[in-house]
Amino acid sequence: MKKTFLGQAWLILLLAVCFGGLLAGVQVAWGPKIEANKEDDARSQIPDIVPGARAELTPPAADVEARDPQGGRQAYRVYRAMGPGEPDAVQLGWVVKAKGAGYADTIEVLIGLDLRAERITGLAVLAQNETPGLGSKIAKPKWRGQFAGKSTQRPLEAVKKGQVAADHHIQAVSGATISSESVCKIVNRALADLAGRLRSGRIEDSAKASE
Amino acid sequence: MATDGPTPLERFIRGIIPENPVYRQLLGMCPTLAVTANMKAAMTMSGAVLFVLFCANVITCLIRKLLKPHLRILVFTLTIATFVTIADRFLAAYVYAMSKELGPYVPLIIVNCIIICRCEVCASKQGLGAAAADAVGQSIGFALALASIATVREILGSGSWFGYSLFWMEDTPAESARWAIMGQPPGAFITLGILLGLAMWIGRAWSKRRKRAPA
Repeated sequence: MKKTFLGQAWLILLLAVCFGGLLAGVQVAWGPKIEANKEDDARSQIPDIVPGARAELTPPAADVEARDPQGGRQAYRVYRAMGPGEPDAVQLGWVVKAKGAGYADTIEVLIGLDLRAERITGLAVLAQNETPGLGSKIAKPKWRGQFAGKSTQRPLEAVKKGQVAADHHIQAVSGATISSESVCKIVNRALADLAGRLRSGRIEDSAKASE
Repeated sequence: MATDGPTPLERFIRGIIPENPVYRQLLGMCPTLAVTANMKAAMTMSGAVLFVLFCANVITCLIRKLLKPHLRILVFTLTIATFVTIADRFLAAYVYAMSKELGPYVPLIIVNCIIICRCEVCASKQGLGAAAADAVGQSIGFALALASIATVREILGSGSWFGYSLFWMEDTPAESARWAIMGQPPGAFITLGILLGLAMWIGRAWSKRRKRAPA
């Protein structure tokens, strides 16, 4: 018994099962609350990335799914960014929550777009676990501010410092090319998947269709 | 076995000053440097460490007779990781802003060597009372150390303490009252270095006086 696998490892296996159950309970109890906190946090960023928009006027988001030809699925959350108007609130643009792989972990961003989805009005990073001091700079206003005003016609490209020559170039954080490219890829993919649907303004229909 | 080693009361007192985890054992330097820019973050971190260390010490102590020597670190880490995850989820559910500010440093408590060290040195060798007292004592020591650094850094770096701006700085514009570097990593190293030097100096002065007294 002492020499067998179970004889050596039974305590660890038992503890792993008990702790796993405990954590599952924690997730069930607090998971919804954490999700609600994240949602509030995302909404509070809307005024930053769509100028003039107000979080409290913006209606609940629609969950949208896009499928690529290979059969992969990509989930997005789309907000109609509303600002004050006469007499009712008017839509000023769109905010798309998208995520994708970064260098270390998943990066989650909010992309602000104008009403016709022709220009990016701003970008916010909701979640990232990139290398502190290097890749983590993607969350700084100085870097993500580059996205504001970019056209959605051409895919964005992260280039090294000094090579920024065209409108679709984004200067990569030095020492964090992969993190920078990842953000560009997430934005490009979201735009490729959704820009057409946003332009037609029929995002809720497709949300329903995908359910 | 349980009669060996320091008593629970000794364990408790030692953790606070004589064996202070930060100033005497120089353990857990990562959170000490990373989350002491202000008092709120430092105290949240201390609270999380108290919870994790207490639970990990108690569990380790209860199963100490079942531990296989070559697998003990694995069991410690498994136990610690579980309670860290609970602490992390709790912060995300109830104090989301703080959870965002602390970021990866809450999950990093898993590799905080104070906790593994206490499981190894105390909880896996002594009784439940000593293990629990040890956890509380070490956590108080850790909290005091973090508080001392965070107090210096927050007052000098942001002109406030626990988020309240200090009265003698109220008339000065917030920007000019700040000593920006104190809020940043270099400020953490400088403050820790100076306070550590001070703690060593006081410690030596005390032990010298104690030696002289009986003579």
